[in-house]
Amino acid sequence: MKFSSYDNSWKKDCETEIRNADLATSRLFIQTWVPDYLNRILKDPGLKYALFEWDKIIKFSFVVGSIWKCFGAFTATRLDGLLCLSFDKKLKIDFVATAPWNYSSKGKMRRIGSGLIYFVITNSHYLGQGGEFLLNALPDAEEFYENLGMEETGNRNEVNLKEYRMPKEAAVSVQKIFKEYVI
Amino acid sequence: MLKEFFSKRLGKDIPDGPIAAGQTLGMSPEKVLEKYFVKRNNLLKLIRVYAGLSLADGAKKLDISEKELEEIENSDRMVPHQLVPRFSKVFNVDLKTLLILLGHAKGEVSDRKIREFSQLALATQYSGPELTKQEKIDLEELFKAILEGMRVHKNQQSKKEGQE
Repeated sequence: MKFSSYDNSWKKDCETEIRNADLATSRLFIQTWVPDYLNRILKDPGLKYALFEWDKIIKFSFVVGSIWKCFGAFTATRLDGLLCLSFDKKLKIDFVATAPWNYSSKGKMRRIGSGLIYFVITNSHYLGQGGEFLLNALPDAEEFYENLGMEETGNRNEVNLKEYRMPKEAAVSVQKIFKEYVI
Repeated sequence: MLKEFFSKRLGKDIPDGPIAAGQTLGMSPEKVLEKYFVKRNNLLKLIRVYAGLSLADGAKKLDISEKELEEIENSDRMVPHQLVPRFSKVFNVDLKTLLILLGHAKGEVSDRKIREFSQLALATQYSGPELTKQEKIDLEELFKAILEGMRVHKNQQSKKEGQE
């Protein structure tokens, strides 16, 4: 899936593509996300960005690829976002992240997170889930998911993160809003 | 649940992998450094590169030789603690985080301890040549005032004890 993202520093629209993550994606994560994250945490120790072990997650998805898939959002050769989906009766986002340089309102790229969510909704339709999916939100991301129309299920995971569900109706409105950016 | 599901489906026990609960909250900076960096001090190279400084420029700003900086960046030995605040100042990074990541202070140590250590490291830096003459004079005045205050306090304490 391709969509139009927005480069906040260059003030121009770009083309971002979401495709399967492979070993090269894992290497790109190590070469670009890791140093950028460390540099940012050294500049701003209060940074709330959560860096997951994406290299491990991606490699792991090769083992159980039929039920667990990883995707990367690429703007030209730059890895701007990562997504890990699992399907066990219900579609679930296990991990989703935008690159450290895109984090916060002052981040470089816009629409990466929304693009990934739109991609998940599309996949949910393919899987007969009608746009529905589940995820456990990090505290700082709760507002983002609530603004998308997601609802708390009342469940929490092992590390006490709230579980959210994307209802069919909310999925339809997200699709409607984001459709204009899909290429 | 997922782990059980995968294990059943694959017919073998799968490693904890990303299902491990701890990962849901992301890695700590210490873990990131430990996992992805061959040597801890490579972090110093990283902050220099991000600051857009060459080895020569970085060494000049740090007031050490190029060879010395190169050796520090590519080694795993402890960076002399009087140098850490200089790195923090020159490359504009947080001193406390740098101290933790370079292994001078542990993340689980209380904030107070880290603060004390940062102050100690900063105090060591004050003896360095990068201070202006006026700053050195100001600092000497400050130390004199502190010593005088301590002396007065001690005298008062002994007088009090004598009266009692």
